[in-house]
Amino acid sequence: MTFLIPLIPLLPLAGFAITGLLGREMGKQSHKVAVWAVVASWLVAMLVAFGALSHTLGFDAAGAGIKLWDWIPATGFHADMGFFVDPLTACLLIVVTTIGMLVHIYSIGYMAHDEGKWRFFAYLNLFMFSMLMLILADNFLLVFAGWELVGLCSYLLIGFWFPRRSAAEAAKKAFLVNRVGDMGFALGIMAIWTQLGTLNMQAVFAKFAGVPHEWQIAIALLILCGAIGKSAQFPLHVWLPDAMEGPTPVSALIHAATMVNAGVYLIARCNPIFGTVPEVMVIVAAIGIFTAIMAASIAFTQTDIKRVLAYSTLSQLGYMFASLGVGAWTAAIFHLMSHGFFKGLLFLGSGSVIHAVDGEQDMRKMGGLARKIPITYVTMLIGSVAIAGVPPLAGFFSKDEILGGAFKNGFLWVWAIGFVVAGMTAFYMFRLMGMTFWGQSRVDPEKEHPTHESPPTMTRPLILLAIPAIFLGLLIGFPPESGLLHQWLAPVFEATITASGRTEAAYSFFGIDGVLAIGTTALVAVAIVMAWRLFGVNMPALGLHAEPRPDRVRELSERQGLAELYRGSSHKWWFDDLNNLLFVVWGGKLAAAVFWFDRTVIDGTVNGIGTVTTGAGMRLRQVQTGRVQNYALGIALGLIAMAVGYILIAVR
Amino acid sequence: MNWSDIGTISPVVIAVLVAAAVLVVDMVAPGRRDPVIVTALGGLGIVAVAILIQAGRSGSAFGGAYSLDNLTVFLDMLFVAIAALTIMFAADYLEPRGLPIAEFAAVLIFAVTGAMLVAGSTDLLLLFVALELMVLPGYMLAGFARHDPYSTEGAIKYFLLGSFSSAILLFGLAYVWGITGTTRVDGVAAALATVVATGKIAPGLAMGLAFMTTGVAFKMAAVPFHYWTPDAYQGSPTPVTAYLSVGPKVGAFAIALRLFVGALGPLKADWLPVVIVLAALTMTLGNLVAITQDNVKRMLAYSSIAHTGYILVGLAAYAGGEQSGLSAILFYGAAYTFMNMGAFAVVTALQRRPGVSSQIATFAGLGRRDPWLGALMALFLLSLTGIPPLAGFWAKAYVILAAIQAGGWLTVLAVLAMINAAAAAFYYLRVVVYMYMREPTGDAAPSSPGALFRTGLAITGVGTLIFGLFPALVAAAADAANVFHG
Repeated sequence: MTFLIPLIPLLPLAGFAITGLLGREMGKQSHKVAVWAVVASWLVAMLVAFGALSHTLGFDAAGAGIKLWDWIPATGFHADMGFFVDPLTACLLIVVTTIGMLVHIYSIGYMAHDEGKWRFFAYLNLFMFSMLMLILADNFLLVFAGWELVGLCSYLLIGFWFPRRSAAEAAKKAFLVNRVGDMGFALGIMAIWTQLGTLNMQAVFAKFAGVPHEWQIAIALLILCGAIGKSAQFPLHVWLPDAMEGPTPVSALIHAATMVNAGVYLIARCNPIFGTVPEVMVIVAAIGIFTAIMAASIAFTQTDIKRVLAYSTLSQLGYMFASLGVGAWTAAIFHLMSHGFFKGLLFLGSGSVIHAVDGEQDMRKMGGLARKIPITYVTMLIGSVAIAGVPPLAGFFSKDEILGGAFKNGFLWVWAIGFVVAGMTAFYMFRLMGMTFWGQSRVDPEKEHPTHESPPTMTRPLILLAIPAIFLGLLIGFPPESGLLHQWLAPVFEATITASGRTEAAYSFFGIDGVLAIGTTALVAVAIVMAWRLFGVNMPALGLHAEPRPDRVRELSERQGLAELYRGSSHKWWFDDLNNLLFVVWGGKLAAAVFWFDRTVIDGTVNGIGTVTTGAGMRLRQVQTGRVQNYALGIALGLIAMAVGYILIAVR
Repeated sequence: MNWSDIGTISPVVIAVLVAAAVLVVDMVAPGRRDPVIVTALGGLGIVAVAILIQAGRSGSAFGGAYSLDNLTVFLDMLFVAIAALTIMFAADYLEPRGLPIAEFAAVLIFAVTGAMLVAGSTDLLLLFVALELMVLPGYMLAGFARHDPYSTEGAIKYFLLGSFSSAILLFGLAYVWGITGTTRVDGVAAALATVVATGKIAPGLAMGLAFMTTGVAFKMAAVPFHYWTPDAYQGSPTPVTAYLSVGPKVGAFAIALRLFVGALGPLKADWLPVVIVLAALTMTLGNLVAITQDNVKRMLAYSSIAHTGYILVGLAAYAGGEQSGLSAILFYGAAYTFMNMGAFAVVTALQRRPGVSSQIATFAGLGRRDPWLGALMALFLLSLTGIPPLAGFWAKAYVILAAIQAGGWLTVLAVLAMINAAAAAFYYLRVVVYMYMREPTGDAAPSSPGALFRTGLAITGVGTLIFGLFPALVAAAADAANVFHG
């Protein structure tokens, strides 16, 4: 059935072409082609994923590929246009196509009144094509093509509401920051090619052990550079929170569930490369866990509902990086999948909230929405419980595996920070729930009246996403460390884990693993209760009720010792200001200086010398012909420089 | 001279006859557009057939002054394609402005005849004469809108500076002749090889190299000999700009291949450092200045300077010992022809109604006003940026890979080229942003180009796509052409 693989990306591509070129004429129906293209792609992807995971339908444990054609058989350089599906790809396919499909359906309602709807669906389809090409590619070049294209789509979609200046700025920022990472990735690909003479992934992995160690390190670092950019890890994390300027379905699809996972996927895919360089792995773990705690601390004080979720995404991606870094490969992919579902759910839920209160995103102007938008409320509550890590929901299992992996692989510091972050996650999520859904309504009275639940096209995807948020962990992650997912991914990571020399102790519920799990769960419980006491709770079914205490929050934020932390958190630790200074202020001056240099120094020198030689009296006549003479003089000067250069070369 | 000589240069002869036929047709049916276009395009088709008949053969004519090899065939095909596309794009532009299409087509075909002759020249004198035959009609084309002061001014500047640089080149050729005693490319190469074998090169030869490098660098528009480009490009009628940005540029690289690789090949260790510096300066300055431009035509002019820089990287890679650098130059030339002519064609389409400027604001909302035109422009710009899987990506990849293979300082040059490619995204994608993220301005003209124009656009678009998806098609031909006479 491998011949079906190309259909997965090509269906959305066809959808993009049709919607992009004819969408405007389709009017209200402009979403139809795009949505059906993605649904069809989902069906094929499910079939392929089933085959790859069960090793049937023409797939075996190592996966199966399909080569479309020799992309470039030029001398000395070879790359195929080909796809490859193994269990890792299959896991990503499930996340990307499922969430992609639900977001498409959700967008029918969300974008119903937007006159640019056809454009939106065209971009979404293009994004699906690019993302699927990225994960299906069998060589680095094709991965890079997808990598660039998802960046482009992200750019177009963040800036979708371009008349808003902040949206246009955010889009530019995302694009530029990503270019930094992409550069590194591109250099890494070049380095791979010079060292191995091939770009086919399986061939590269097979031969990688033979590369000189310093090149191994360089290649791993360069790939990491790309991964950091796309997955918004420190220090390239600044673009993701601003990216929330895009429409909410975009935030859910691209900036929570799929594209930002590309970095995690890339490192996991390159596990044979990273497995050979333990020193780089430590860097991966350090960057990941630092991003996790830094972003979680910022999420504490943000008041924009989408920004809280954005920083939460950063933090969870940090977890995944940390997990990769400590060698808990499967746990990283597990968290990627579970996070994809519950964060997609949370973002779509926040979109539904924003829809209900007429575009308001500030949580200080929400409150008491639980009764008014019950479906959104219940599904978001499920998402929050899942991300907080309450057993037995999805987030509990995946997070537990990451922390356990860090602890057992000897990265105690990663575990310790990760443990704290688990508590912080629970706290800021229930702060969000409290401020949004519980307590008294603080909604602007003018917007109060029409507050209503979203249409079924929006609520149904929420319900559908809530199901995996609850059951995914039990389904593929239980029993811990030997669940379905571990069986699926074993062929992908086995060799690397064996090579690392770590013998995985069996999961012992009555041993260290159980202690860790209970410890984390207890911390999470404490954090949730703290959040309830500060920001309120109202769940009559469980007999829980507490009023929010804003005075107490204010008092805490002004208390000695906490006030500095509060200020740092609410200013996002001043990263944006630093970047502004570095790139916008200084960088802008540099570009202006270069233009000035060309106009003034290069042209000016030429003109100036010309002016001096022809005399000031002729100045007026020079406006037309003078410049040509001056240009000619410039050429003559260049010629002299050239002659000096050649003479120097000749006598060297 | 005998009949077999004529047979060898038959494509050039036919091209001259086509140009003459165009003028005759215009005399018989004055002022009518269609017969002229049919004659010109049909004639170019015959030229293409004549070239393809020679594909794979090799030989020489006129005692070795002209060579027929795979390089000649590759470049000739490219020049014919450039001429045909220019005519397709020009007709719609010239007509509403009252400019004569027949003269335009004839002059253009004469220019391309010169370029084809350059491609096959293996004699320094013939090379120079062919070069002049290529550039003189170019000056006329630049000033084709003779009632437009900007066009005239640009043409005059181009002409004066071009003549100046031609003289410099000729002076350099004279030095070479003086030292080697021959003007045949293979003879020069053999003589220089003995010079190199005996030790250092004489100061006189160094001067000659300086003159020749300057002359060729001017024709390519390499920094710091680029001053003429923005003025000439902006002043010229847009289809002429399209032609000037590819035709003479590829022609200049044809000279570089015949002169520097063929005749001066033994001295490559001496001209390598100069080419590296030129390439680094050219791509960096071209890009940095392009970033600050608000006029798309001017932006494309500066970016064409940057592309010269990338192509020079291929030449440097060859001098560094990597034969594939030459294939990379040829591939780049082919890819650049299609994507850049396409981009200029979209500018032309917007300017169908006289008076429309090429300011970036003109592109606002193009993606919605005309989805096809917008999509094509986005395709060309993405390809120029070097985003896979489009033609421009492979063009850049090939030159950069060749440079990395060559190693040493060329690795640094390769990294610089990549940084430049990343920076270039900024100004190319800015136009995409205007097309898709800005509301159309009120007075924007509805653009509905004719069938001929659309055919041309389709050819450039398909070329940009096909060269990207199946780069092997062109790469194989480029590889075959990278070993040639001389």
